[in-house]
Amino acid sequence: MHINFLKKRNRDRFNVEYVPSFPVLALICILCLYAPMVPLLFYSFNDSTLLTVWHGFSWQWYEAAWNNERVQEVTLRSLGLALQASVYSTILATMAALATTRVPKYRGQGLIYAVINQPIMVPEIVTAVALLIFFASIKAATGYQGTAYLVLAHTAFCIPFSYLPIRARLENMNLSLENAAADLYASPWRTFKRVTFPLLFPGILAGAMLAFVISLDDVVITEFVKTPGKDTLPTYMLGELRREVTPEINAISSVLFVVSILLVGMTFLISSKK
Amino acid sequence: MKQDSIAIKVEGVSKVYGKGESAFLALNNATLNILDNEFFTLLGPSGCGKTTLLRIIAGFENPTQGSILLHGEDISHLPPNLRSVNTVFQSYALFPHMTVAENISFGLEMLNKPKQEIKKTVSKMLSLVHMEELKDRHIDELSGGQQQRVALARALAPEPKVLLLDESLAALDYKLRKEMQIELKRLQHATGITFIFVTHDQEEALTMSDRIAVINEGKLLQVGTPHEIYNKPQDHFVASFVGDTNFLEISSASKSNNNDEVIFLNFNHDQILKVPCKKDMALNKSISIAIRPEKVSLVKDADSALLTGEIVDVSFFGTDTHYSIELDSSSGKAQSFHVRMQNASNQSKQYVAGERVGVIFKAEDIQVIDDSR
Repeated sequence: MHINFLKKRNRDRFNVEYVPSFPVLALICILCLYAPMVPLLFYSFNDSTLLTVWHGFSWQWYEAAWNNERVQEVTLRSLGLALQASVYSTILATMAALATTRVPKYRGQGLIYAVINQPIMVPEIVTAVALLIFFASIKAATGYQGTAYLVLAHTAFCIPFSYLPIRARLENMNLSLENAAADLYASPWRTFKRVTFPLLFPGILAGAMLAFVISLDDVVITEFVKTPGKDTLPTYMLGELRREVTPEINAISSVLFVVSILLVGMTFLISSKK
Repeated sequence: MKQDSIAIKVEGVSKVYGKGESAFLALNNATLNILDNEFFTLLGPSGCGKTTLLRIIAGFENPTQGSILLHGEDISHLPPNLRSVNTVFQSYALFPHMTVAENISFGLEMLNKPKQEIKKTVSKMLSLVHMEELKDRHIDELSGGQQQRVALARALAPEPKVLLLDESLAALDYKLRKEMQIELKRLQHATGITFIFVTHDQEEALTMSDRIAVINEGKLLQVGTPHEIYNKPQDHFVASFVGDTNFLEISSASKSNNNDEVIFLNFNHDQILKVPCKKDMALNKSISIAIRPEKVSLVKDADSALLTGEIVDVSFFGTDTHYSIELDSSSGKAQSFHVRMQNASNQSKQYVAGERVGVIFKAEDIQVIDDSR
């Protein structure tokens, strides 16, 4: 009954779907977005070292990439980094989302939104330079050289990406559910555990996956913050491209492309789930 | 059955929202005793403060002033989870990720009751609201009426001292609402729990309640049984909000002495009715009286009537007929008057529009409204 009501209202409003030629326009937009991907995917199956001359179908570049020890090393590093960054950023983002939606309105709330979303708005190169200088002074003071800097940096810029789906979910969640739990003798912690968290979980999962993808393909900040010689997959690829371009890079890019599409697609599926 | 002990004592509770110039007084110094095992209704138009009072009792809002006592214990500053008070929410607020049975057992689990007892209570609750077969359903697979029943069972399961119902029937259609009204009364008798029911529907309030509190603009206007509220409204608002009422301005009235508890009202042909009134009521201006349309009779003979006028409209309602009458007035200000006469037998006189008629009523059916309050 409720769903029907919503559908009806949506139809009453202006809806771009009913504009003539909408399908054609949509198709053109999608083509423009994805057309550049086609040669990349196509030539990753090329049975030749040449990038733009088709020779025949082969998996050889995928095999080469799979068996390349350097690729293995940087991929594992990237996955580990993305995993850590997405877990930490999602925990922080969940806390931030609760603190910005489950409290009475207070002064400076707008400022807090701006601060949380700052990594999206500030040019990445600025953040990168700032982090380089900031971490350099810590390195000088402590002598620590490890991967924690990279994890910290990635966590920081992943926070808004985790935060947005979680906050959207919380805002759509009726506060009376939490009131009902409290009314039925649940302490604040048990209310969170039994009611808020299970209902929020799709949002948290979506936030974590989005953060994972963002961390996985970051180049600029990683390039500035990484320990020399400890590349991630994207910075390794950038380095390789500077020397020689082989279809192996095509193959890696294609895999990265598919993984990203799958994760982002799942993010949308999960966050739209009731 | 113990009727005299007080379940909820509301002591001088006020609630102010906002600060400074935008401050809004939602509840103005409300004082109220709700008895144990009582079906008590807070009645008023939307935005009158009745839900605010309910939320203060439940613990979702803190009173700006005053306190709430539950069986003598001050609970004003306890969080909702430490109050033995449960709520049936207007939107039901059922947990969408749990089944019917899980929803009902939630409160019991939070009270750390033993598993066996939880199971027993849940099945008792399921049978109480006739939902045994649907216990493993999810909430979105239920109809509105079924969700209502689950919400009731969930709130009743922990056996609270007081059950709060926030416009709980408002979302249901007419037939279902009538059914649930009877169901609620039955549940209240079966459980012996004090019910505090919030509604804007005066008919619902009259049929269901042991006692009613009428609230308007944050002020508690009158507390009483449905009979008292309907027959002895003490306030202009109460008289007009509960049922239909004729208000008459009487310019010719007298009191033998200002402290008297009776007032003499002059009508046509020097007829005088003696009507009880408040002791301290001042008589320095015209007074207004309220008369229910069904307490009035029409007569053909205008000479013996208290008021005279002309019928302007007649509507037939089957069991009764409604007449709209324009009263003769010396001041020239037209005043309309409504009369509702039962069509009890075929002999009852019928009147037609345009006919001149007399209006009669008894002194005991007149309620003097003190507008200076």
